[in-house]
Parts: sequence; structure tokens; C-alpha cells
Amino acid sequence: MKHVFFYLILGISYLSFSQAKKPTLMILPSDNWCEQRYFMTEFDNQGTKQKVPNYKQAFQEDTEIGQVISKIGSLMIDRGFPLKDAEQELKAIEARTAEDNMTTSTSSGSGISESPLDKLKNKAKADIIIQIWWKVSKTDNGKVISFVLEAFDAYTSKRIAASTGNGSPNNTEIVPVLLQNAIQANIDPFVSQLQAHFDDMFNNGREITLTLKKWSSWDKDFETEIDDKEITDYVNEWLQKNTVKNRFNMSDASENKIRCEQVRIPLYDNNNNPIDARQFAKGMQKYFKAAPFNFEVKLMTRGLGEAILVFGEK
Amino acid sequence: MFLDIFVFMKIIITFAFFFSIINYCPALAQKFNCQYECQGIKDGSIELVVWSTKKSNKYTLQQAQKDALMAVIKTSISSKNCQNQPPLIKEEEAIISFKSIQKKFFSKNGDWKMFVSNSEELTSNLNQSENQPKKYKVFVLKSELRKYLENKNVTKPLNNGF
Repeated sequence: MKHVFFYLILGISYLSFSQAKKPTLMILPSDNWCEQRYFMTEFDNQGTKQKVPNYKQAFQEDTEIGQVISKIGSLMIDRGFPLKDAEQELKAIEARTAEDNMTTSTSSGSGISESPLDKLKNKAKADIIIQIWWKVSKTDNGKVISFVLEAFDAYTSKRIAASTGNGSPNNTEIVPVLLQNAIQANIDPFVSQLQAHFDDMFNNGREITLTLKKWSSWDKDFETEIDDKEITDYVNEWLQKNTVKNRFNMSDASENKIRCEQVRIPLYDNNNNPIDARQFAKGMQKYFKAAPFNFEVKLMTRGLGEAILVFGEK
Repeated sequence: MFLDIFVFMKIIITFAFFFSIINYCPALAQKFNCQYECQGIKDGSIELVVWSTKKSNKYTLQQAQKDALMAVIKTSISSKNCQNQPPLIKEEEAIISFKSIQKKFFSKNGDWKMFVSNSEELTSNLNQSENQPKKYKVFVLKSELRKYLENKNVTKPLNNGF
């Protein structure tokens, strides 16, 4: 009897303390800010010249960015939401790459295995990217700071929070103080919208993107019929059963690819464990692995919010 | 004639701008018909100028401080220096929850005093006429107030549920 009581208490406390997976947040300067301050790198993308922000150079050379990120970071810590530091993350990636390159097995001398996809994915990432932009303009009445603070869901590409404004002309304060004041004025409206996004997530589920593809070696496609129904229909049925309030949008469906956007997944599974895109897609992977399908399906993810299933083999 | 219309339009626009930066106090101070204007935000505190257009001689600093707190708690505050500041409590649940502690919070020895600082009267008592509004500058420690409301379970912190 004592044991039953103990396990009951343990179970109740487990259920009550189970929490959703916390999204990671990272601040980066906007592309326009990088372009205006010449922190861009140009590269040749299969014949097309493309410019990408050079964040490492921006962090090393700009005198204001460190102060701005640090101030926003401290305000977010105050709200129980520490941010991933982009500068430290870039340094950690470089250190990890160097270590991996130097690591060899003592018995065979073999190196760490890394696919081209792993290399491509080896970049600073977070579930929510906070982009900042500012400009100091000189007017007759003093300096004016224009400031933009925006948050994007990295996987759905949706803008989830934004605050923007122009300060009053000021001749007495120095630029870092004006920037601090601009951050102070913008942070509460920004956090309030972020809170609304989290509230929506708790009420309607986490929004993810799910993509189904096929290996070219697979002898079937998504229009192949099994028991008089196309595979696409089975995908549709499974999503209707497993999404929150049946909310998903099959934006693309062809014989080779199915893309589902705005897929609202529950925050917890049946055992009250927090789930993300990977666990959700794993359910679908299991479904198609079982009879009558017996398909081999490879599962890949991008952070908490995007899952890719490739049918045919692993 | 054209000039008259132009002057009239100018007056309308001036009035519209004036009323867009002045906010009305929430329910607590209805008998004083209080108004406020946000001057700026610094280090987690918000600077408000508060005044009453009604019974202005009886409008005290303490009443102005309470009104300023209520404004920060319950209303959106907009001005050029302050952008659009959302209220600390928005959801119906939080409003009901705050109502349950409001009387104790604003009582004589209530916690409200912890969240106002550097308050002063802006208008001088000399030359103060009966109808001239008494204006007060009040600093509301918004950041501290937010944490207080979170600790009292009136509002939930941003990381709630994670």
C-alpha cells in the first residue's frame, strides 16, 4: 500500500512538472544593418553572385552591436528566457570543427564521419531568430535613433513579434545611451507579442513544417494505391488524427513530394512527454513502417520545428 | 476663405495630436478625471506626468502615484518617447486575479509604495488657481511591478510552461 501511494505521488508530481520544450532564441543584426555597415561576404552560388551577412566580422569590428545584444540579453534573462549568444556559438562551431578534424581513432586511425549535409548544417541556429536594426540620424535638433526589433520563427519563417520606433531628437546623450533607451522603450511591446505567440502555441499546438520526399530508387510514389487508397490519402488521414484540432495545410502534393505547412502538433505525447517535430514525425515513420505499408523511411529534422521524411530507404 | 479652412484644419490636427499623446486614467480615479502622459522609459522604470482636470486642488501626490500605477497595470501607454507600451495585465483571468488583490495592494500600508519613486509636483502652489490642474511627475518601477505581479500569480512569466 505504501508503495502504491509513493508511486502515485511520484506520478502526479511528474505530470505536474512536465514542461514543453523550450525554444531557443538568438539575436542577430538584420541583413540590411550588415549591408549598411559593409559586413557582407560575396560568394559565387553556381554562377550567381550572392551576398550573405558576415556576422563574425560584425561582432569583431562593430562597437555598438555588442552593447545592444548584451542589453537585450540581460532584459530577456530578467524574464527567464536566456538567449543563445551568436558570437559564442560561432566560436564554438569553429572549435568543434577544428577538434573533429583532429580527432582520430587510436586503433584504426579513422576520422569522425561527417556527411556533406552535416557540414552544411554546421551553422549557428536557433528556433526563434531575433533581428535588430538601428540607425542614428543627425537632425537640427539632435541625434535621432530609429530602432527595429523583430522575431522570426526560424522554421515557419513567420514574423512572431515586432517593435519599431523613432526616439526624440537628443543632443545631450551619447549614442550608446540613446540605444539603451530605444531598447528599453521597445522591449515590452516586443515581449508582449512573444508572449502572445507562446500563448497561441500552448492553446493551438506548436506549428511545424512537415515534408515528405522519396528516394529516386524507391519503386513507389505518393500516388501509388494501397488497398484502393493513394499514399497521399493515408498521409492526410494520419495528420487529421494526430494534429491539434485537425489543423494542417497540405500546400504541395505531387507524386514525388508532399509539403505540409502550419501543422499544429500537440506539445505533449500520450505519456505527457514534451514532443517536437522529430517525435511527431517519428509517429508517422512508425505508421508507414508497419503493415500494410512496410516502408523504410528516413527521418531528418531542422531544429524543433521542421521534419523531413524520405520514403524508400534510410 | 481658403486661409480660414487651412487654419481650421491646423487647429484640428493640433488637437488630434494633443489627444493622441494624452491618455486617460483607468477606473480607480474616475472621481478625479485623471490624465497622464508618458515622458520616457529608463532602466525598467516609466516616467509619467499625471494630472486631474476635475477637483484639481484636492488631487494629491499619493492619488497621482496610485493613478500612475493603475495606468501602467491596466492601460496601453503611447507617446513619442515611450512607443506603445502594453499594459501589465491584459487577459481576463489576470484582470480578475488583480481585482482580488487590488484593495489590499492600494491600502494605506499596501505594497503599491514599493513601485513608485522620485515623485514630485510639477506645478507650483504659488499662483495656483482653483481651475489650474495640479501636475505630478511619477516614476513607476515597471520592471519590479511586473515581477511582483508574477510572484503573486496575477500574471505569468514569459517562460511559463517551458
